[in-house]
Amino acid sequence: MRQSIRALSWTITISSLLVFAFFVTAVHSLSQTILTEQGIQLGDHQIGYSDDSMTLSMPISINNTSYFDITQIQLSSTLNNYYGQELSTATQLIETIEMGTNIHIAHNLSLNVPMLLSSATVLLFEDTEFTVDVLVDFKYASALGFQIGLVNMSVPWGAPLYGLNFSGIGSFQFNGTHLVTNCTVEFENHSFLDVNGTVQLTAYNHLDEYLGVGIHEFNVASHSQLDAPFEVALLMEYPFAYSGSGTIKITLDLDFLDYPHNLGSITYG
Amino acid sequence: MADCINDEKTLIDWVKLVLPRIMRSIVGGFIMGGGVLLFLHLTDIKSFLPLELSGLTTLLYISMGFEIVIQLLSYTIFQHVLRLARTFLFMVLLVLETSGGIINLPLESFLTLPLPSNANFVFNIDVTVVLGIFILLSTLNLAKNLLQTIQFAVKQAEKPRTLPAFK
Repeated sequence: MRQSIRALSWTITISSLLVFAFFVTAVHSLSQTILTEQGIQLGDHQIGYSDDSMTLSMPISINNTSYFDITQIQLSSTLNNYYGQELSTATQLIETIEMGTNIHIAHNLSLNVPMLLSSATVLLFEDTEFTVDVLVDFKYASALGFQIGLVNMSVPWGAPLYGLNFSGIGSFQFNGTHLVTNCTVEFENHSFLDVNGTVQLTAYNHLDEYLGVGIHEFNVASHSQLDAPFEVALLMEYPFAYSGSGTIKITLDLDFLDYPHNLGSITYG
Repeated sequence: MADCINDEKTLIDWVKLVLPRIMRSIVGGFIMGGGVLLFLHLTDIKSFLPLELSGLTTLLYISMGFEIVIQLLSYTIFQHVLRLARTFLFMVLLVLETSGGIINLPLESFLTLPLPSNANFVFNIDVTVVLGIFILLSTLNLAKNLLQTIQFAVKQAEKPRTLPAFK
């Protein structure tokens, strides 16, 4: 019994020392890599826009200068709105980064803008802030799990139709084929995308019968504004139904929206 | 009766018995935590470490306290019982101090690059595998201490006893 106790005692002592030494070495090695040598770097995010989707691109470089391999690397990012609701998420997997090697990748997080604006119309008119969480999960030395990341990074959202105001419809002139009027659409494009679209005026008579339609196209570049008055000539498809009074329905049709946005209606005559 | 009187210990006997135990307890206490505690108090290493050391110092104080008492009570059954208790307590404290193996380190102050505004840096370590190995080793240690306790009890039972003379 005495011999077995002694053997057990040595086994425990040696095993404990080995495990402790491994743990300290691994943590120290990785800490040095991350903190001193900046082995894991998240670059400045860049925002791009193409084919109805906004892409947030984050360059990530991992330089494994430590003593062990980094395995099962999972890059994940989440875009949340102001209220913390998830808007988009992306995950990327890398199998192994052996010691002494490095990788540079761009982690992309895409957001379908038309879908986003359809679900939250308020984003068309109000500036807000999104938050991005970027996390890197990995196994180190096949035994330790690490999670490193930046959470709550602010990404500003500029409203494409900030301060939208429709005004200036005054006198109407009917020349037999067209109903001509002047109006003003004002808004500031705070977003990173150009706002292309049309203002559509649809005329009805006092019996609410369709008369005709007039369209004004506009193109407002990113971070500029639209405030100049313009003239719209509504082509009367049914001029004989024109009674001198009725309503005009105004709709805004934007390239990046799947549906026209109704601005309301005014009466004339 | 005469034997009983002869067995009574003098002051020198007590000093011979207690002094080595006190010496051993001082050395043992230093090795089992006192030395590290002294190092932490004398140096400014706390400011360089990304950890709250309160948990570690608690473990070291407990370890040192147990070792001192164990050495003072050596050659008694309490020595083995205390070793059992210490191993068990350490298993529990290790799990509690590491939050079950997931450690969150506040490393923001150690970053050399500035963080984006409002952003928080996250650094979590999952040490469940290493903790599992330590728990396994602690269980083996528990078994070893139990065997030592049984061995001590058996030895004591096998010792010849002289009954006091019946009047």
